[in-house]
Amino acid sequence: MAFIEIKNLYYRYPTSDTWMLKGVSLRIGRERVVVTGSTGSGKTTLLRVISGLAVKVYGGDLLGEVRVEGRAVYVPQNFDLYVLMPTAREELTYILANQGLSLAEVEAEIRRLSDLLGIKEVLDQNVMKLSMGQRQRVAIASALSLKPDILLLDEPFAHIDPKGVVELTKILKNIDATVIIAEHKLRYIGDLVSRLVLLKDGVIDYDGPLENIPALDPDIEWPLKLLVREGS
Amino acid sequence: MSKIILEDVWYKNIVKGVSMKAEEGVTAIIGPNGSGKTTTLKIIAKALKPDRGKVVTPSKIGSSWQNPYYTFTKAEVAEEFTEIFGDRRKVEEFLRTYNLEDLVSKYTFKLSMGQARLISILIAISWGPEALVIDEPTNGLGLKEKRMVENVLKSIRIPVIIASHDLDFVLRVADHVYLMNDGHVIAEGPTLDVFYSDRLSALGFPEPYAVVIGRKLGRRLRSIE
Repeated sequence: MAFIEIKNLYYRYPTSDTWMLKGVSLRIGRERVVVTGSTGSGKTTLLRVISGLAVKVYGGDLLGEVRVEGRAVYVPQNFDLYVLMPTAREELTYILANQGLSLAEVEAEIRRLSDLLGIKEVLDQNVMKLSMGQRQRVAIASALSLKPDILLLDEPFAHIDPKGVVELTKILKNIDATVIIAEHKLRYIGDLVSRLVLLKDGVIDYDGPLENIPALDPDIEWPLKLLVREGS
Repeated sequence: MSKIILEDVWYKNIVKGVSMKAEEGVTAIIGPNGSGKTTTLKIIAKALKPDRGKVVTPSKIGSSWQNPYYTFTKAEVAEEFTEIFGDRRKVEEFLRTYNLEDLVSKYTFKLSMGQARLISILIAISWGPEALVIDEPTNGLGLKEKRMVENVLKSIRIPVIIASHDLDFVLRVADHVYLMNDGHVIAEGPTLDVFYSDRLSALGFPEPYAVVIGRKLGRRLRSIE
């Protein structure tokens, strides 16, 4: 069961005297949420806190309460660095075999994941030679092989062409986990998420359903409301 | 006046006989992942030498790449610009005109992706280039910052070539568009002509919202603001 509860969270990176997050409170259950806001508003930092990376890898100061139930897995913006093995098959085999699965189970799971992400044809190709869209999907497959209850995606649409964005949106809809996406490109996300969290300078400015997004907010592509209607 | 001209340019199996021309104003290259956009930009920026074909460019070309952190050679944002402007006060003034004065004393490797993108673009424009090449100028940027980049690109009087997946942005900012697929230019023309043809939907690209609304209203809109 995935559950995230954050109460009055303050976080700053080591050697920095400015707080990146200033009194953030959030409850997220089994749902799909998009976190948006200007660059530097704290989107990535929030994902790093939820994944545990902020404290474990970066250090820094964390005040307030963060409770995360379930396994949270984070796919960073620079997903190039995320996949360690030369090919997707090796990457997935490595992770799955380390979970103690038998060879047959590993193969079955790779089949399931590659069907889900549409990466069957590229399983044995060098990841660095794939297109950005394919690499992003391999990175997500790799994250899913860790069986996350909570999947955290940092700007998953950044490098993908418009067609790929639509395809990835469909894929993410079929993932059985809490999905939290930090993203600026909201054009195609209407069908995928039901809730939007808007961060401004480390503070939550809006948290609620897409339908009630404040109109004309300078930080949001304002026709989103219309887009959601049109897309549905 | 400075110009960029490519004539029948080839590079490995990636760019296959591309011809392009860009004068003052913004020219955009769009197309699917792996269609050769970035490679074309690298050829223009002289980062790659084409196997054959003619490339005419001015000698001073500013550039900003998909990974904006590659631009940085100094630890601090201020140092990057002090090298260009000579004096830190001028740097602060310059960044203030873009409301980015808070970034002056930040470490470049600690910038967020979007901040790094903005700084990288501002570095590219501030040393007096005669042409500009920018790969994915809006990745990591929110709406406000996108508008800022749009204004910057529209206001400089040199040829600017961008490659982008952000069709809404391209529609607003570009005068001329080249559509690439599999190493070839498959369509080109004034931005509105290309966007209001069926070229984008033929590639499976959803049309920008302004185009969807524009078609309904029977007008060729660039934006819906």
